[in-house]
Amino acid sequence: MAIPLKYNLRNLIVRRVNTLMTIGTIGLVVGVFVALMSLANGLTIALRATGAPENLIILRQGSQTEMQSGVSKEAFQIIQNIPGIARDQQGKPMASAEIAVIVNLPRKTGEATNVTVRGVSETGFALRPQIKLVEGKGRMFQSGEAIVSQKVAERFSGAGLGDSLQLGRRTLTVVGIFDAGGTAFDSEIWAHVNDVADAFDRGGYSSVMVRAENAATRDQLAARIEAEQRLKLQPRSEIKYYEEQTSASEPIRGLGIFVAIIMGIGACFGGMNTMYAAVAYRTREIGTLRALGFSKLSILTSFVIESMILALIGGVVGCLLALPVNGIATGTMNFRTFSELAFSFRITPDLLISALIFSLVLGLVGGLLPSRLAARMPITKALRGF
Amino acid sequence: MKFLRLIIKNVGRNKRRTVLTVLSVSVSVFLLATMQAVLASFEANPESTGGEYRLVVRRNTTLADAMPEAYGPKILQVPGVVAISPANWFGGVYKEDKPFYTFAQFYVDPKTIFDVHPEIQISPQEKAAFQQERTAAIAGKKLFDKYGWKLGDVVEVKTPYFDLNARLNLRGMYTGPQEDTLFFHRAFVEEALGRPGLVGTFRVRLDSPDSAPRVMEEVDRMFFNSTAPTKTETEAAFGAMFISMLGNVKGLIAGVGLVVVFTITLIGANTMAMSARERFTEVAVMKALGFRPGVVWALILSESVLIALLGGVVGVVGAKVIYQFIGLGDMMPLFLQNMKITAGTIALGMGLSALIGFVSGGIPAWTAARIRIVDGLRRVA
Repeated sequence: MAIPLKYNLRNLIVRRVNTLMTIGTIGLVVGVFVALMSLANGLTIALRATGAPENLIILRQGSQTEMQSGVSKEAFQIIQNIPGIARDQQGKPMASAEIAVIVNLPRKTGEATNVTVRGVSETGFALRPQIKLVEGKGRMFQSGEAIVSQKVAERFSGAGLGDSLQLGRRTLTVVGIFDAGGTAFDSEIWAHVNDVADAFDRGGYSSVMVRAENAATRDQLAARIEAEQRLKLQPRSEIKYYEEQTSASEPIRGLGIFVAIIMGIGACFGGMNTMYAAVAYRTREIGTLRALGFSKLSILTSFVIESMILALIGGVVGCLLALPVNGIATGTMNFRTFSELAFSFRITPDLLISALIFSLVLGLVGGLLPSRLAARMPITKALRGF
Repeated sequence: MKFLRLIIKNVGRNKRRTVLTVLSVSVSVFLLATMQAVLASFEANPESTGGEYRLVVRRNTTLADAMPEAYGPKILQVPGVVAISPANWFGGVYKEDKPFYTFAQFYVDPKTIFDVHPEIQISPQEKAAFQQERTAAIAGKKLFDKYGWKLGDVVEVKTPYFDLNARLNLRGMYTGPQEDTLFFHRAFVEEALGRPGLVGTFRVRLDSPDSAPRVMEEVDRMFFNSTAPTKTETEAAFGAMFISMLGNVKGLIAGVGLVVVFTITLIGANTMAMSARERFTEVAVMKALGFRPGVVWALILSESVLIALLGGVVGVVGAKVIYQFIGLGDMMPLFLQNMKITAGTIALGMGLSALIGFVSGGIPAWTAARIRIVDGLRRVA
């Protein structure tokens, strides 16, 4: 027979100082876990959201990122004539030769960091419909003009509407601000591909982005490009390209798990203390319960449940504590591209569930030994008290 | 001092609780020490490597852009410059693209590098062997230990930046403050690429640290109107740039650290409150015997500080053992490989644990000291 849950709840209320402190401890541990993991989550989500299923990004063989790659002008001509590329309303192939370079810009906080500058043509916009204009001019920008993402405009000094940006040996005026819907392009500055080539003295392009007629024929198109002997280029799906960069979130995820485990162990020891004390205070009660006919197993279960309730409340508190970080914009170095990636803390339902499971595990581990002690207590000795 | 025995007896009274508290404090102090070591490794002390005598010249845009080789002789003519050496980041992949196999690789001038970096210690024979052979390389002792290299081994690094697979013969092992870099010939890479004559950074050695501001200014002014303007900075500033690019890592770590401290304090306070409450009767007896409230307060507080300090010792020693003696720090990604538990970190850990003891023991001790004798005697624990 099980001991009623009410017994545990009332006990938690009677020892409220202890209960509150333990809840606070577990809450802090879970809160740190959620906050750090939401940081890693945000990074992954930003990169996962980038990329359309029909798009292919074409890089030099062996290059991992656009920054390392190079595609000649001749190669771009060849690519445009490969069959299987979607066409726009004017019948032009949807292929965009782009140059991606990194520049060092000062953050508003003072430190400088690398930002990606992308030289595009109009097709570049057609391939990425998620780019929405927020202020100023859109894709109709002209030579000498640049548009920046909202996040870049917010985070960097001298990158607002109307400001002049010193890019390589050119000075471009910011004429528009765009929003890329939380994708990797939210960390970029865009200008005309010819301007970027001129500013950074590039004779060729970094990459070519093409759109297949549909997602199903994408891989066939990729095979045709790869088979073209004159190119020596490697196409890969845009989605996969950004997926590969999600490894950038691993150090943060690692830090989150490491901190959570170590703090969790600490909290477990603290929780054990609380539960041992709970058992000690209630020696006589335990004896009475046993004398009333409750089995050892019921006592064990009851105490473990009590510990887990305590931890679960702590877990909920922790989730609530961490909630305000959701949506805070931040940025870090993406070591694959060596440039800043802007993203936001993202608390997802998955993360909250894993946080609650984590807190339950803490409760279980912290409660098991003290509960065993409670269950094994000889009735006569327990009834006599301590 | 005459109460020391009493305090120790009290610490040992509920052994299980004391051990649990010590352990919870110690894992938290361990975590703090780890984070402190990470922060310290970001700010690797440039003084010890002679960094104050060095400047780094790079393109004013980004590190991805390069300067013409011809800048070298021009910079060398600036008064105050005693040596200059070009260094390019190779960024190759050794074996696999994994943090364990990631280390710094530079292609350099095999002669001038030793003039600019006198802290690179290598035997004259190995140095000569390195300088003579175009495909030779030297590496720091740490890399030799980590990958089990021997002199004469062939190390293959592949770079994704250009189509080049460098097969290098290990001809020397150097020691010094930073033993985690592979150096090889600039000429080897330049030839393979068709002699573009490009330099990523120039390392400049000065006659005195005082010349730094003037040389920095003069070098940058010299190339200001060229196609490739430069940015010259001290070695320390150059290193700090990489850390600042990571974003607000310091803020993140400091924030987590604060929460850790707060959490342990809470755990400690909870425990001390429990043990103080159990002892109300006893405290009342002591007071009835004539112990002053101040003494009672000090006794309980010392007990809490003692427990916290014990935890601190275990935590700090644990961190030292794990990161330095077992060498787990070497498993960390590139920028964390110089993780060290310094005397400063130890002091911080001990100081914090003492503080935690004070704060967590303070309130329970105060409550106990203020208890009225009659109440305490009547109270049934």
